[in-house]
Amino acid sequence: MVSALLMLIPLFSIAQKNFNNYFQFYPIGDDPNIGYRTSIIPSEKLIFEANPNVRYSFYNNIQKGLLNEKTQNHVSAWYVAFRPQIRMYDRASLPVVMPSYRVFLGTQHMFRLKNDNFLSFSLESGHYSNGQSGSAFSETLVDGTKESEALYNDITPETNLSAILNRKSGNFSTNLTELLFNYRNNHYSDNIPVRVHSITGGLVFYHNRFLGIGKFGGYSANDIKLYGRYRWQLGYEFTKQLTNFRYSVAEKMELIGGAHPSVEPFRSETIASVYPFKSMQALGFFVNYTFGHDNYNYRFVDSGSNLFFGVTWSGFPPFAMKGDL
Amino acid sequence: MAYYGNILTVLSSTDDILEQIKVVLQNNDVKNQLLGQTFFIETSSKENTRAILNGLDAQGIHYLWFHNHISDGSRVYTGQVNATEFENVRRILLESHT
Repeated sequence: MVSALLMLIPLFSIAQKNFNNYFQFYPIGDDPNIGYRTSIIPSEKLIFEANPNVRYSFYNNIQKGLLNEKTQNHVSAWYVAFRPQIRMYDRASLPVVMPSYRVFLGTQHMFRLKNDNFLSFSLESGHYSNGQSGSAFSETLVDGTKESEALYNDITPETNLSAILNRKSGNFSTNLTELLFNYRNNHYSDNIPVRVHSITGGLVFYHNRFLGIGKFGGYSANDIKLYGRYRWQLGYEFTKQLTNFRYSVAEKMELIGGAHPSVEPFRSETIASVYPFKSMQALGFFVNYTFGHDNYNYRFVDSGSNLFFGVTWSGFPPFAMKGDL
Repeated sequence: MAYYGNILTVLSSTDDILEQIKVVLQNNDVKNQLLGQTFFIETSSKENTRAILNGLDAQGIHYLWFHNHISDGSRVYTGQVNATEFENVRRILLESHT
């Protein structure tokens, strides 16, 4: 027993000498935020939107690996990602309406290139739904019943889905896989990136089986014809560190493939962020101008332009990405 | 600007060698505290640190250099060291980082 305890001592000593367990960075992914969003369609006024994205790693050597004395050219993370999306609408007794629940198993890998630039990819697969049980196009029918399914027979290519959507309890459900690639071109000062060009692109693919295996959480045959299976994404972000603060400007675009003709396939987000606190580099403020389709579960059938502004937390703030002097 | 705490231990030192090191440190504009054969040095960047190492190498000096990248959580203790000098060392190693 004593010898077994003594064997554990070196393990604890190793754990206390590094900061592997204190920092978990991810080069790809939307940053968590909360703020006020103006109306997307005239009939619905929003109070706030929150995207409390979090990831919990099983393994993550991204920061420690990049600083390691023996330079590592490949670092990675394996994790569970929770990416809910919550909106409070300005309605009586319905403060939060049809929240999005997204949970993924994921992995991210970073590869060091020449001049300490980086190529990364992220692969996440999981489930996306809104926890509702109502028919998508009737506030009185239950999703999955014959009566509810019969409503889809009345939908033609000319139907305006936004006009008939059940906005109180319409069910949205799919399984999905997201594959994104990212290239970062860094200019360093003190081994910390102070000017970064970042390009991200990839595909979100809706599929019926959870992780491609489990027969649960998928879409109905009628719904997938409206959702569209493919969401292509492309984005660019420029970040610069100045003496007392950091700022970034970003453009994100999404194109839906295979959705109902009434769905606006394009979405654009133009985002300006400022991170003013040197002692809390992840914390910032943002303004986001969006036009195109909405991204709140079944409300992707809506489209318009809106402003979104509030507080954000960077998932990949500047830190030393090489250890040598 | 980030600051870093560093410990330079001089091996086989003489008064002449210590003077050579002081010149290198002056040329690179850094604060330091000498205790015995050990310099405690506050550098203002990675490049600043590298320049001093290059200066020491150019003089052929035998040394060990510890570069403290993140000081949070580190501690420094003393026995029988002048309080003012120890305070200088403590500040260089633990407080001058941003």
